Parts: sequence; C-alpha cells; structure tokens
Amino acid sequence: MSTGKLLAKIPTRVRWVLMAFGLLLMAGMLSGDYPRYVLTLWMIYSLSAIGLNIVLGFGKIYSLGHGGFMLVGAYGTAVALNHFHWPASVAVAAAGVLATLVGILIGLPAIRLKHFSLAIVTFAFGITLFQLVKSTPYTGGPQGMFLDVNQLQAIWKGRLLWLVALLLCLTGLGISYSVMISRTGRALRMIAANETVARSFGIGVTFHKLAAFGLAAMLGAVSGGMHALITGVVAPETFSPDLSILIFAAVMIGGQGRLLGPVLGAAFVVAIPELTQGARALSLMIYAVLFLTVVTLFPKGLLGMIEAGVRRVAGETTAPPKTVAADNTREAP
Amino acid sequence: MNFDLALATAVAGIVSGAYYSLLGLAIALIYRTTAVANFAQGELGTLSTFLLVLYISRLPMPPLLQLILAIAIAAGISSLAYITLLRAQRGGDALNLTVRTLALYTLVHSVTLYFWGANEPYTAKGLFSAGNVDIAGFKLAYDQMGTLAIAGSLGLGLFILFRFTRVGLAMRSVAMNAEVASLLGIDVNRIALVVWLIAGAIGALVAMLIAPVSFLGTDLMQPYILKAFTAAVLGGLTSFPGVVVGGLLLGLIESFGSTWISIHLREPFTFVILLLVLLFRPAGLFARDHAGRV
Repeated sequence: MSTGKLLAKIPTRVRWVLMAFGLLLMAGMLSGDYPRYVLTLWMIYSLSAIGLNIVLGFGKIYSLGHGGFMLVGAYGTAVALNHFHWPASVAVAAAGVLATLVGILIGLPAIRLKHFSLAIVTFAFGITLFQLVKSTPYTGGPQGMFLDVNQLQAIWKGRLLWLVALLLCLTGLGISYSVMISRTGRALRMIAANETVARSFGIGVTFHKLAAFGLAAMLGAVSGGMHALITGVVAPETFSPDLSILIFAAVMIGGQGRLLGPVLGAAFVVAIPELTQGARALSLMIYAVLFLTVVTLFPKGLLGMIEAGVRRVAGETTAPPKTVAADNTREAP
Repeated sequence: MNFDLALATAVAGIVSGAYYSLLGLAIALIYRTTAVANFAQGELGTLSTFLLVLYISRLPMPPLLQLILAIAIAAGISSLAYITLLRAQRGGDALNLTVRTLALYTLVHSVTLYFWGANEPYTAKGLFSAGNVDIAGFKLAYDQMGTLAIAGSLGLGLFILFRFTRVGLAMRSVAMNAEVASLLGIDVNRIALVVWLIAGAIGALVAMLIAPVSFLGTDLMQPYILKAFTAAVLGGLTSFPGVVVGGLLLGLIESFGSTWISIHLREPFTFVILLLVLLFRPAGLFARDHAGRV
C-alpha cells in the first residue's frame, strides 16, 4: 500500500491534530529556551490530564487524587535515579509501571464507591502520599530530592526533553483515542450513564473501572516522571493536593470526555499563570476569576465554547453566499 | 498511657471532632439539598475570620455583635455564591457544579492570599479567656469548654430546626427528594438558599473557633475541610446524626492515633480508617444501602 492510500485511511480530524502537533514541534524547536520550557511543561500537564480524562471524562468516575499518581511517578523516577542509579528512561518507565499497580489498587474501592465518597477517598489518597513522602527521610523529607539531570536537560538546550514530552503527549492522545473508539470506551461511557444497566448488558464493570484507573495512573506517573526530569527537583509541595485540583480543573476547563479537552485545559492552567506573572500577587486571582468564569458559563469547557463559537460564525456567514454562488453558475452559460 | 493522658487525648479528640461534625453537617446539608460538594466551605470561613480579626474587631461595638456581623457576612457571601454560580447557570452536570465550587475555593483563597498572605500568620484573640477549670484533678481549658458548649448548642439548634420547624421539615424533604418536594409545593430554590446561608454561617463560626487555638493563616481551614468531608462520608451522607457521630469518631481516632503512633502519620492513619470503613460499609456507617435503580 502506498503512503497516499495509508494517509487517506486516517480520519480527517486525526490528520488535523497531527498537523497541529507538527507545527507545535517546530515552534518548540525554534523558540527560545524559556518558551520551550513552558511548552514542555504544557505537554507534561496535558499528558497527565489526558490520563485523568479517561477516568473522569469517559467513565464519570470521580477521581480527585490524580496528583498522587504524578507524585508516584516523580518520586519513583527520583528514587530510581538517586538510589538505584538507573538510566532516566528506565526510571520513568519503571515509575509508570509502579503507578499502574498503585492505580489498580486505589481503583479497588472505586468499584464499591460512587460520586462524593469516591472523590473524598481519592483526594485523601493524594494527601496521604503527600504526607508520607514529606515525612520519610528516604524520599528527602520536606526538602525533597535533587536529581543529577543537568546533562540530560542540556542536550540540544532542552530540545531532546521537549521532543520526548511532545511524543509522550501524542502517545497519550493515541491511547485516549483508541480507548474512546473501542469497546472499552463504549463500556466506560455506558458505566457512566448507568452502572446497573451496563452490568445487565454483561459489561465487566469491575474490569473496566480498574483498567481505566490503571491507565490513568500510568499516564499520570509518566507525566510526573517527566516533570521531575525537566525541573531537576522533586519536592513534596509540587505534588500537594493542589496539584490534584489543578489537573482536575484542567480536564473540566478544557472539556471533559473529549479527546483534545485535556490538552486545551492544560494550556489554560499552564499559560494563564505564565502570562499573568507580571501582575505578581494578582496572578492567582486572575487565574481564579478566569477559571470560575469558564466553568460557570461554559459547562462543556473551552472546547464546547470554541465549538459553539464556530457554529455561530459558520451558521451566520456561510449560508447566504452559497445561494448567490448557485444563482451565478446558473446564469453564467 | 496513664489515665490523665488518655482523658486529655479524648477531650482534644472530641473538640476537633466537634469542628469536623459541624463542618461535615454544613457539607452534608448542601450536598443533600443541592447535590454539590462545596469545596469552598472552609475558605469562606477563613475569609470571614480575617475580616473579623483585622477589621470588624476594630469597630466600636460589643464583641458579640462583631462576631454576629462577621458570621452574617460569611452567610451572605455563601448564599450569593449559590445564586450567582449555581442557580444562575444551570447547564452543567454534578461534576461541573462541583468544579465550580473548586473554582470558588481558588478565588477566595487567592483573595485571602493577596490581602493577608504576606504577613501571615496572625494571632487571633480568643473568644474565651485563658485559664483552666479543675474538675477532680483534671484540667479543662476554658476555650475547650467554650468550644464544646458552642458546638453543642449549635448542634442542638440545628436538631430543633430540622425536627420541629416548617423550614426544617422542608429542608429534610428537599434533601430526601427535591423533585417530589417541589411537587408538594415546597419552594426548592428558597430552601437551597437557606441551606447555603446556614452552611456559610456554620463554616464561619467554626473558623472563628479554630483561629484562636491555631495561628490565623491563609490555610487555616484546609486541614479541617478535608476531615469534614471525611466525617460526612464516614457517617453516611444521608443521615445528619450519622455525620455528627462520624465527625466525633474521626476526631477521637485521630487524637489517639497521633498520641499512640506518630503525629506525622496522623493523615495516613485517618485515610486507612476511612478506607476500612468504606470497604465494609460503602454507604457510610449510618446509612442504609440502596439497591441500584434503573
């Protein structure tokens, strides 16, 4: 099969996404060091939010401890680097595997709990991990751990880590997309709509919930591991309960249950604080006001807002010219 | 562990349990009537405590009136938040409504951080004078006694409200089933507003009780709000007495846990208890399990 035919097989929307990521890749390669760092951070938070979206968006399973999985990823990477002296890539991968197991473990209560209770249990899980690493000398206590990754960060002035982060985010999107269009995605959506009905249709509710949690945890942990690599430091405060809230907010701001929603939401939570840095102390307040405005006025998130905008523009401007064009062609001969 | 230490631990546990119970009640009330987990509950309390300590306490009026004014402001903000954030824009599902309260939490937190974050922590003057009462050789601090008295009377007041007044009856019926309640002629919107008002007032009062015994900082209520959620879940959200028992139980467990094991492991210990309870009774200690309905 030729490449042309292969390309034709890819759905149009996916092609647009790939093209956008191509442009993004170029932008990151050509930009200055600091913008590249921010873009890398965006990809890393996107990856984490994509993971949470599988649980929260598709399955409507209230997971409020996603920062905990990022913590497992970051600290797993740090421990593997500092104490075991593993190479960075192996460290991140191992942390991902570890977090998957943790995710399945924390998914177990999720089988029995719903909504509010589950939100509290997962939130408490995040806090517990935070307190544990803060009080354990092995993980550096309150100061955290410093990683010897200067050389890795310096490769191509950070372009290597940028490429890796971008590819990982794209991979995350691929995983999310395949979950979305597959049996698993349908099962999760059905569980979200009505668990009892899903069960009566023979859907393995337990299996799918655990799988979703495991997958989300893995993506979150890889994101956390990457975060450790690009910042070079793993501190408890970075992975405080606020991080869980931040990622939760990213998914909800971007548009829950949608493929690109988490990426948009992550852009929001990364970019707004960066852009308002000049306002100093007011920065957080501006972020909070925007956050509140988006989630209150647009329950479907930024993606829903953009789509509504596009529909309005398209509906008002494209329809009339069409008839004019049709009239013209009739008169032309 | 000798008897005196055990007694002191128990009293400390009951005092913090009282905070958890009251906050938990506020959370359960809001959750049952408007189906929202109100994450902003604690921060509103922190905000009003700052207002009380730094501004209202300088006004020329008796302390009790100052306290009431500050609580009224918190209740006002709480009900205003309900009207503007939840009622005005109904489009979202439960998840969206919850994230709105998270956004409100972020906003209120950013406001307190902006105005008072630089100079924290402040010290708040106690509501009660310092000192101890000697009861058969056991020392009980005035603020502990005062806290328990206020919490107890507030709890009793809420009980009377729910049990013996028309508004309370309406609240219970909305909590049970809002649709049926509205069919029976209850103004569900008005009840929801009253509930947010009460919850705001409770949150403020609890924050004002806590501030003198810890330092007044922008993160004053953060540890408490999570415990309050835990208390609400432990007790089973459907039963208000259950939430009170859940809160007291949590306070005691935590208090003894940190004395026996380690203060650093207090949170993990609480989490294990929460998990164990929910593993065996997913709907909480005091709620009956409902079968799934299609």
